[in-house]
Amino acid sequence: MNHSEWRALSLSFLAVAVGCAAALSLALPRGNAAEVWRVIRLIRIPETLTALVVGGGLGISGLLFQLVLRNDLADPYVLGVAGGGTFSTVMVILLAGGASAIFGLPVRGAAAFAGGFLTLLFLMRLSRGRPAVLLLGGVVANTAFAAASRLATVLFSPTQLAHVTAYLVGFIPTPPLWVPLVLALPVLYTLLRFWSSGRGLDLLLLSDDEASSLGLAVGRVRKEALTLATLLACMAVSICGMIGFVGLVVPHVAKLLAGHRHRVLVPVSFLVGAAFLLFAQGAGKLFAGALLLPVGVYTSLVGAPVFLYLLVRSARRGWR
Amino acid sequence: MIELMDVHFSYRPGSELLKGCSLSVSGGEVVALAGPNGSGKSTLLRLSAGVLVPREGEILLDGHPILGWDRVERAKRLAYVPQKSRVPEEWRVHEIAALGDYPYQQSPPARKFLGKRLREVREALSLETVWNRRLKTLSGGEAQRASLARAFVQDTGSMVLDEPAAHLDLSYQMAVYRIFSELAAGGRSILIATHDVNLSRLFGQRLVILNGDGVVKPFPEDRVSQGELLEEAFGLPFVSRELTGVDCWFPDPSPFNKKMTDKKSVLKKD
Repeated sequence: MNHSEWRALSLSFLAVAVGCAAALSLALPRGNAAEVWRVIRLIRIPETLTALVVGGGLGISGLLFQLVLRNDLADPYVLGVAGGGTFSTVMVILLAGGASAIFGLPVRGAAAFAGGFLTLLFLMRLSRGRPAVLLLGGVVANTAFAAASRLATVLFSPTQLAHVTAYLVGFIPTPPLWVPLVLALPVLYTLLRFWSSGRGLDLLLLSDDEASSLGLAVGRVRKEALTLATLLACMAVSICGMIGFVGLVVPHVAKLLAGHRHRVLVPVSFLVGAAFLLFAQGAGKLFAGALLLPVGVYTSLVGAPVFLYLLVRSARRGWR
Repeated sequence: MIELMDVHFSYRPGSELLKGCSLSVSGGEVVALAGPNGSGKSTLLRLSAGVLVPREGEILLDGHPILGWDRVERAKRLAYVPQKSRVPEEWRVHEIAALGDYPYQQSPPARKFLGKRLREVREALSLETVWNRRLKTLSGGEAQRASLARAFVQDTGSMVLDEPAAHLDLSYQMAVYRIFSELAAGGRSILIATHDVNLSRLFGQRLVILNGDGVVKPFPEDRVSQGELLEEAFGLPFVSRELTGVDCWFPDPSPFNKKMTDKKSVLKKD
């Protein structure tokens, strides 16, 4: 690793540390030390760990989508993967009943993965490599899935409407501690996998002919990256709902910090993604008194202008 | 060693681009493949590099079917440089050159002395002044040399290069062809596509022609047949001039000059 890559890793690690401190300590209730510690242990630590793993996973997911689809605007939210995953999860919650929200985690995760992956496959087939069609298709899919989720809520269980609304915007729940630890497993696997074979991801930036002639199994690496990107996004969706634009913004910040070598870009994307969501959660805590808003509101407030900027830049360069 | 035996290929059913091409590039030999635009030169090179699969026929690399080799092992034996590389423009020249080491990192034994190899290639291609520069800041010729550097670092027994001298100025063209001859003298097999029917022959390299009928033809020995083959392939009259004992061929400009003076020329103002 060169000097700037070490600096990127150090900076993003520092950002995560500050973000964790903010998410753990901001706006704690006043009371005796034992009470405060109880809140930290039972609520803040699981919340913070969830934000860390989900944000990091979404960051890596966005990076992999942008790489494989060769599109700077790709991310699980824009591509409709998050929308498909959310709809499937909402259906599972409605059909199984709200009480099963946590215990049904494997079922929700599998449903989210199936919904997200099928949406992605459908849109890729529909667009046939045309970026504008892929992105517009993603926007349409997200809107349609959001409408279908609300409709299903009203039809099946009106009492769940508030919960599903938060789910559609994206929120950080307070799950038992084992939930973020289980969610960390696929993230860890992805980090280790691409730490050892990050150069294979670099070669995906070349033409298929060049990459193949250098000994890369292009199809296999592309499928693996796409599957892991979908898995990480849908894992996040199954717990936190549709948190917008993290996967879009984070890879661009990571590239600014760390350059273009994926061996370093993947961990930096994880750290920047984690820091982004932790800061968003911290902002939520800070404004909790006046505006108790889901975390997805803050990420969208930051992400939407960035998306517009990238959209204009891509249009000027010509769609790639 | 690269061998193509009766290779047929088509991108669409019913319109065959290559109709039974046979070609052999032995160790120690540079073969230049010339032909008009759209004749299938790049396709033939992609087939020779194992990135396309022929509809019929067989392609051998070092005596074994090219697609039968393990992908990494094949990359240690054959380097391929396409006509237009898609390397991201943020990459620096030394990073592009170092890509050539990728196959050696994938399976043991990993190659030692990468730094030494990079220095040799940097010197051979005169890349010292641009070594740390990003691709987007380079001229077309410098970018072309960066692509060649990657193939040279790959250090394989066979090389397939699609128009390696495109974008290069005359001095670098000469330098690159000289390097090909030196590499071949070390026992390598080199297949290149080119639009220059003279340069390779001036360096004592073998020329073959792929004309519009999808068949590879050797460049004949006698002068009359050479002119006929070029006229047939390119649809133009050619004239020859002898240079260092080699008959060099050029399109005959006289019919074009006549057309320029013709009042009916579409570009001529009334």
